[in-house]
Amino acid sequence: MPQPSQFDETDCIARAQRGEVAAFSELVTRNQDRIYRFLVRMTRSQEDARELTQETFLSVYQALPSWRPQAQLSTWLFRIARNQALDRLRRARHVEFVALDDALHQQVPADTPTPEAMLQARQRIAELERALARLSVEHREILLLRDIEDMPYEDIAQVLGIGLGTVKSRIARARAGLLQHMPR
Amino acid sequence: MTCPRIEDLSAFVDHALPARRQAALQSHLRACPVCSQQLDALRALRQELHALPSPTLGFDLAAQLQERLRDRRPPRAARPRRAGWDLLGWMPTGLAAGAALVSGLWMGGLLLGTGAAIPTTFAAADPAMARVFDPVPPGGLCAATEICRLPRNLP
Repeated sequence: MPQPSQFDETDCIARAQRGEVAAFSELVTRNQDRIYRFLVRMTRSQEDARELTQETFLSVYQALPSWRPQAQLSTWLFRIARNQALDRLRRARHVEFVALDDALHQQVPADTPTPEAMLQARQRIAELERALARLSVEHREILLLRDIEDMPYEDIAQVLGIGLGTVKSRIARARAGLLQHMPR
Repeated sequence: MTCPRIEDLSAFVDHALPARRQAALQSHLRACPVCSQQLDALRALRQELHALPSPTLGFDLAAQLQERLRDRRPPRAARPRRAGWDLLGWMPTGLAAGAALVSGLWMGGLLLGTGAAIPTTFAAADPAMARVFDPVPPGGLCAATEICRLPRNLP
């Protein structure tokens, strides 16, 4: 998904703050899939992720007057989405692994050459998703932000409200944990 | 150089080490197959995670939110303001303050026994009647005893 340039984004937010519904809708359209992708792997439920994505943007709408251009919109969005997910997980008390929709596992890279390679790729994706689901929430969220969303350490520190040193060590522990859950 | 911690290898994958540390680790990796293998595993893991299928929401959330946004409080900046609305908003308070002032003046006029506000049937007929509003001394029951006292020759 194309990311908005800083100028466009700031301008868009300013217009949304002035009450332009079209500008707010543009912000939603540009970010909805990123937030949903994060939430679906946090909650392991497509239904919860859909609902929480909506709640995230409704919270953003209400908090929009307090947003200042010094803050980065994406880190703000992910912080709100993460809080929504943690609330939901806390209320659920325990989280069971629920397989993501099969259709998701069917998505393999387009350049996969043979049917055997395609099958292997699907299996690998399923294994990785299962291993991710077995990680603690703390480790899962940081890997989602770093390795799937490609977020810099500084932004991760802001989303999670932790120091840079903690980001670095937690990413390393999460990766080591994920490697342990993966079949050799 | 001794083998680095997993923390440094992981940061090396992300190019998040200071330049000198990155260079030192690079030269260690050339000589250490164990660390080199661990680094390859971390790199492959990052690539695989990055290449995971990307689920999409599958519908236009912005259009769906329009309904619910109407129920929510709009952003402060978006709230429309009519010209002169601020002055009209203060009108009830002003009226109440005015009414309180007028009634205060009227009651003050009663107590002082002056001014046109005093009804002739009450104050002009017997000015002593207004004294019942005077402060009552401690232990007293009535400010104007001559009014409060009951006549002895009651039937």
